[in-house]
Amino acid sequence: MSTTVKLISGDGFTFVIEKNVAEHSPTIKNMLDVSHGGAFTEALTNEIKFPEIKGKVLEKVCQYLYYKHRYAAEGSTDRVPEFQFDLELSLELLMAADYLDC
Amino acid sequence: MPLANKRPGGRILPARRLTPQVEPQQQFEKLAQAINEIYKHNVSQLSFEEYYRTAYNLVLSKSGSLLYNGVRTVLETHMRESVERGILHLAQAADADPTTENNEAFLFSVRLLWSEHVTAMLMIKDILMYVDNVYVKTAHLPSIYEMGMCVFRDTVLLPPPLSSSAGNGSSGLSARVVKAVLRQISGERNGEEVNRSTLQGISNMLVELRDAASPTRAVFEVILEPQLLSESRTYYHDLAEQRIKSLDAPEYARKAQADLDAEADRVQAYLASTTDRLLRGVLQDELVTAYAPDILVIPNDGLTQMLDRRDIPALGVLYNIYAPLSQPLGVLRTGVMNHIRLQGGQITAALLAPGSSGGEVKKAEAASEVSSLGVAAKTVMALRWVQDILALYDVYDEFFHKSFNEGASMRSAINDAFIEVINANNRAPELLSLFMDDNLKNGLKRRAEQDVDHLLERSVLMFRFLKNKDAFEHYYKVHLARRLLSARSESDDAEQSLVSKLKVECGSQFTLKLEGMFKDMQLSADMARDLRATSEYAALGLDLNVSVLTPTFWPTLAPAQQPVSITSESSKNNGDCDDGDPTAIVLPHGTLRESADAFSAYYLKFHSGRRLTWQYAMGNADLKVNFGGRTYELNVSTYQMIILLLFTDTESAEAEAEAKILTAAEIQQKTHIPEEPLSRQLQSLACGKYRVLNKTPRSREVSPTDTFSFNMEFKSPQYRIRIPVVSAKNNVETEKEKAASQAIIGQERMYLIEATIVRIMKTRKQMAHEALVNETITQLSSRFLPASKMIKDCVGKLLDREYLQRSPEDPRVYNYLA
Repeated sequence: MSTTVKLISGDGFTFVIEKNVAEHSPTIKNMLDVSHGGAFTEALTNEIKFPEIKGKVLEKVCQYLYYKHRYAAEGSTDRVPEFQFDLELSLELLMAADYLDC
Repeated sequence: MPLANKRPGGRILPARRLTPQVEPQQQFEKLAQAINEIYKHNVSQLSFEEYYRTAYNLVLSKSGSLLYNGVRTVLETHMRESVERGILHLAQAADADPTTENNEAFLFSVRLLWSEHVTAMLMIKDILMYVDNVYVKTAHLPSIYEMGMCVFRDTVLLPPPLSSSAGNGSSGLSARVVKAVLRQISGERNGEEVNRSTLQGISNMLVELRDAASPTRAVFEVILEPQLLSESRTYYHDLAEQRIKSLDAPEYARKAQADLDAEADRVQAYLASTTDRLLRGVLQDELVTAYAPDILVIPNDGLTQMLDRRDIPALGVLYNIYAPLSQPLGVLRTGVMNHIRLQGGQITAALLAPGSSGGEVKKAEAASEVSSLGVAAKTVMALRWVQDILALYDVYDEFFHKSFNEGASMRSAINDAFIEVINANNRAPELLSLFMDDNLKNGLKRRAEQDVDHLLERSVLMFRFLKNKDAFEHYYKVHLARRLLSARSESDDAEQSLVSKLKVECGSQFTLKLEGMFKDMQLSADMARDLRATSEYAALGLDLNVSVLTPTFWPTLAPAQQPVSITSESSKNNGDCDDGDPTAIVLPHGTLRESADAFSAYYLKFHSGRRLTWQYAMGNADLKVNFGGRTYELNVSTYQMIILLLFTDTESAEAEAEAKILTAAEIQQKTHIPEEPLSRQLQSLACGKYRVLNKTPRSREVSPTDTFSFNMEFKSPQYRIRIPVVSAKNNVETEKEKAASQAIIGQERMYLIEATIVRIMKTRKQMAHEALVNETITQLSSRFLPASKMIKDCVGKLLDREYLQRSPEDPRVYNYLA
């Protein structure tokens, strides 16, 4: 079973990230979930298409998931640096965040 | 994602759609299709993202309510169709022919639909997560999953009465499900094999579904549990009614226990855990509580028989089913107590029966003359009483440990019953002390150490049960005194151990005097050793043993005399500090008197300021006596020695022993031995087994004019002869002695009560009559139960002596006068 998952943006960009990182988004986690006895195509192919999300935004999303993975770990005492992104992307990122529930 | 970035530069790009806009209704159709695919197990062909996005878009385009209600309709339709397609015919089959198999098939199909529904709902809930997070929250609706559960409940099981969604006349399956489950349970009770996992699935379903009217309760509690309980009640009610007529108690108890276990197992296997307590309650009501008294009195084999048969396992089962229930436990307690009372009563009756049949009442006047044989036999009976009671206690103690699970309530029941049994015999304090006396004198050598311990412990236990502990103390002191003075006790360790056990029970106050007695004996022994080393002692020419007793510790052995007991060997000596007291016993022989005086002198040299009074009643002596050429060694009491020496005296002085004849009155006058002990001593010398003296006339009665002479013809095969002395042995008291003891005990009680009242009043200063009586009873209860009449008398005496006065304001209140 693969430990990575492929995220594909609406404009055709592909991001391969680790599954346990991707699952910081509850939406993605549910897509990959097989515990209810049935698997959606995403879980079978380890490939998720996001037709509504642009590559530029999805890249930031991936960065954010890693950022969250790094600093949100329980018991982490590191000082958390600010997450950097371009202001012009903020609205689209907001939409994506809402969509991905993270 | 936190968007707290405020870096300057660039304008914010608008969020533009990448995919074309579609009509909401059209989008929903896509979702509805997906839901149906999920039910068809075609998940793997569906893209989660696609449907998630669809739901997302619908919510964003304000079509949440369309989506939510639409999903409900899809689910309802699916449920209804599934029931019609896969379940209804099975339900009808089970209705028409309720065999185990048909019920099983029906329940299995319901359970299958349920489990598929749950699985599907978990996935539907996931793809509709955005709906839950955004629309459901703001619209205050049940979550998608909860809504799915309600759809199942309202469509499959329990359509709301006025709901159009029930449709097509189907009234829901709940009644049939309940009926089928109950039939399966009843089948299992009757020994049929049922599929427990199906039933478990059904139960889980009913537990998980919430009731529509009261969402805190599970459907299980509303539709299944009440019927299950009432059906079980009927079933066990009938069963119990039938069993009580046909089974004996052990079997009834075993069956009830098995039923309780089986139902608990059933609940655990496939019913809701909340049912456990309720269902057990039903069984306990019907099987145990309803027949609690009846089971115990089942004629051919009830509680009585079980106790008599010592059926430990059966009693254990009986206790197990009774113990958790307070009322039946009370019945069992009472049953056990009654049987103890009965058995104990029989033991006590056996003790009393021979005594009353002997016409003792008529002979009460002659009680002091009861033959030593008769008294000895009664003593044996008395010992047997204690022994039997203790053996009975051992039996119940075993029940307590092995059958009654060491339950505190049974312990108290057993103990209470024994307290009643023991105290119902008003001679119990005396008999117990006698029993201890006998065992300390004769019994120990035959027993191993742990048996001795057990025996002592049991004795102390009985002591604990005694209400009149002061009476026991009285007897114990008398018996202990005799054991110590005649050196009859077998083991000092056992004596000491017993006293220390009594001390634990009653405190050091209680054993103070007993310990004082031991101390006196020890001091006397030390002094005897020192005395033997002196030259004065060597000059006496006889072996002298004196016990110096402190009068406050020892029971009054003879009235108005400070007890000093003397024993001597080889030649016999009773000492007497004759200071002119005309009632003092007269020592007839020079050597004896010298010895006694020597001892007194020796003693007073070390303990100036004390007064010694000689006490002869308890001593004994070894005498070498010459009967016309043959010499015997006689072991006699001190009194007997004095009497015999009268004859010897004469012989040496006038050398005509045979001619010396004394009347009883003369002997009394010469010796000053009180009349009653004298006649007893003369009896044992002249009328017993060994006739050392001749008596004229030859009757057993001794009158002052009877004459006695030395029996020169005396012969015996043995060299050493022990002349039995009635008084030196601890026997059951005669009526007269008993009355005397009662008087002593009564007097002691008066003193104790008075002392207690004064002590209480000294601290309280003022007290009402009732409170004073109660407090006095409380303080004395460890020793005896004072009658309030007695307390009232004591208060009266204290008023007379002006320790107390009545309060001027209220005559029911007393003041303490310093």
